[in-house]
Amino acid sequence: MLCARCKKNAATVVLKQIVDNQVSELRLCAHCADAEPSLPADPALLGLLALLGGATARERAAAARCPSCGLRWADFRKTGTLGCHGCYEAFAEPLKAVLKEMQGSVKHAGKSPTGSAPYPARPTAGTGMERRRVETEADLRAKLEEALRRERYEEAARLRDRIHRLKDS
Amino acid sequence: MILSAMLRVKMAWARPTGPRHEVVLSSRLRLARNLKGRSFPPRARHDDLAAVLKSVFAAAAAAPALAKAARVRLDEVDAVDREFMVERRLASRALVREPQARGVVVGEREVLSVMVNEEDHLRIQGIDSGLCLEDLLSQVSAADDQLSASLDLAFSPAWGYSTACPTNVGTGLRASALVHLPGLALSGQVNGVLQRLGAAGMIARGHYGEGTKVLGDFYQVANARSLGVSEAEIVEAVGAAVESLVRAESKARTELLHGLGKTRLEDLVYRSMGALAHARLVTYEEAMQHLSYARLGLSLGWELPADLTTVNELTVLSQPGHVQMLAGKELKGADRDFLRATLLRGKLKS
Repeated sequence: MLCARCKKNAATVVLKQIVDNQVSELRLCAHCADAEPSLPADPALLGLLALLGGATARERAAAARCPSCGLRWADFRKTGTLGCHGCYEAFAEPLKAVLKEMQGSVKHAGKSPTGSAPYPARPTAGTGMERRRVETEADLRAKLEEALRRERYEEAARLRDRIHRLKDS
Repeated sequence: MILSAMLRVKMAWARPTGPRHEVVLSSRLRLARNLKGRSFPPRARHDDLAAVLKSVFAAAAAAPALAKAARVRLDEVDAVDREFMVERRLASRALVREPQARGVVVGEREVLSVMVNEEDHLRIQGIDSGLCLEDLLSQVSAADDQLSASLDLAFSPAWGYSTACPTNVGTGLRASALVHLPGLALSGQVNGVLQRLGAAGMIARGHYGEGTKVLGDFYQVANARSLGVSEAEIVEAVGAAVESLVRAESKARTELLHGLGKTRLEDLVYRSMGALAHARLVTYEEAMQHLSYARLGLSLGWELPADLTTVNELTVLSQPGHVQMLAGKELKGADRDFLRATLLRGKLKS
């Protein structure tokens, strides 16, 4: 069998990976396998990038360049690698779609460099509880107003009592 | 061959002492980091790479976790040395392909290390024996904190640590385990089990050599996501996935032992012991397969003329770069196979 990349040499390496519950196999020659990036599954990323590149708006965006390093979005789609820290800012919009699809999220939830720019500290147990109570009271007030507007006085009385209990607790 | 002294040093990850070592050979955890104001290595000019290497080496010298570490410039060692570092998992193939302005910081017992100018400016990694990802996270994270005290890292509160490939952005964390699954492989269940891991957000793949066959039934399991989850959550998820693999593999081994396949299993293991102790020419692929069965027999508690420490050590020493390092020179294929067979016989005399 010939290498799936160069189609010249005999395939001697099988790259097997699982993406979205599907096992895929890529048969490559030693040379092309060497050039293949290691974990994670980059063929999947490249496939995804090709898919996302279909829309015309994105085609226009493909010509845009990163002001810091000069990388074009089209270059990224070819190689799967960005040029510098600035690329994340420069291509924030199209990257969001890629990240959403690939990572299932666009928001960092991990650590930050020590002493770096302000990073939201983890809320303590106390602040979390307080916020929930404030929200609940606001919700109840909105419900109470709605009940009064609709002249549902029994329901309004119950809501009023609940608000009082919440305040006393 | 400047690094030959390292042959005498035992890598921490090859000791058979870590948790779940009967199935989990080693755990590895790495953080990808980049410096602000410099292009990522795939697009950087030589000047940029050289400046990054210099500042990372300086930062490593100042970091207590890496105080006793060796700092190796890859363009100052020869090809055998570089291959040797790849086989010890201190450097990746991608890193040694272009050695100019690339380097590796190697900590004590080779637990902590830093690759400089691979796909990202820094790949801070920890490798140790058995399933030990939580412990590695605290060690690698401490080294990361110390390095970031003197380096201006590319970070945004929105998307986290910037990385060359967006598959690593956010935490920059990849947690993986090298697992030995001969039971699942022999009973034909390995693909199904790995597929289920894929559904659980893991990447599972074989540990390949030069051929098309998975080497010695070793597989690697790692997290797929690096963004939107915390470091602790990633480590917990990979740990849980690996634990499920350990259970499946142990079950498969027990079933093989008690079923009709017992004689076949014994035959495989003892045949491998015979080949390891008597053959005169052994290729790397062959060595890995036989060592895999020897490892299986030992973890089932069979009385074999070998021990797990020796077998683990031999899976490392049998690699082409290590054999050449033992010889002290570059060797052709057949000469390597001869020296490898001699090494195996010497270590596994019955």
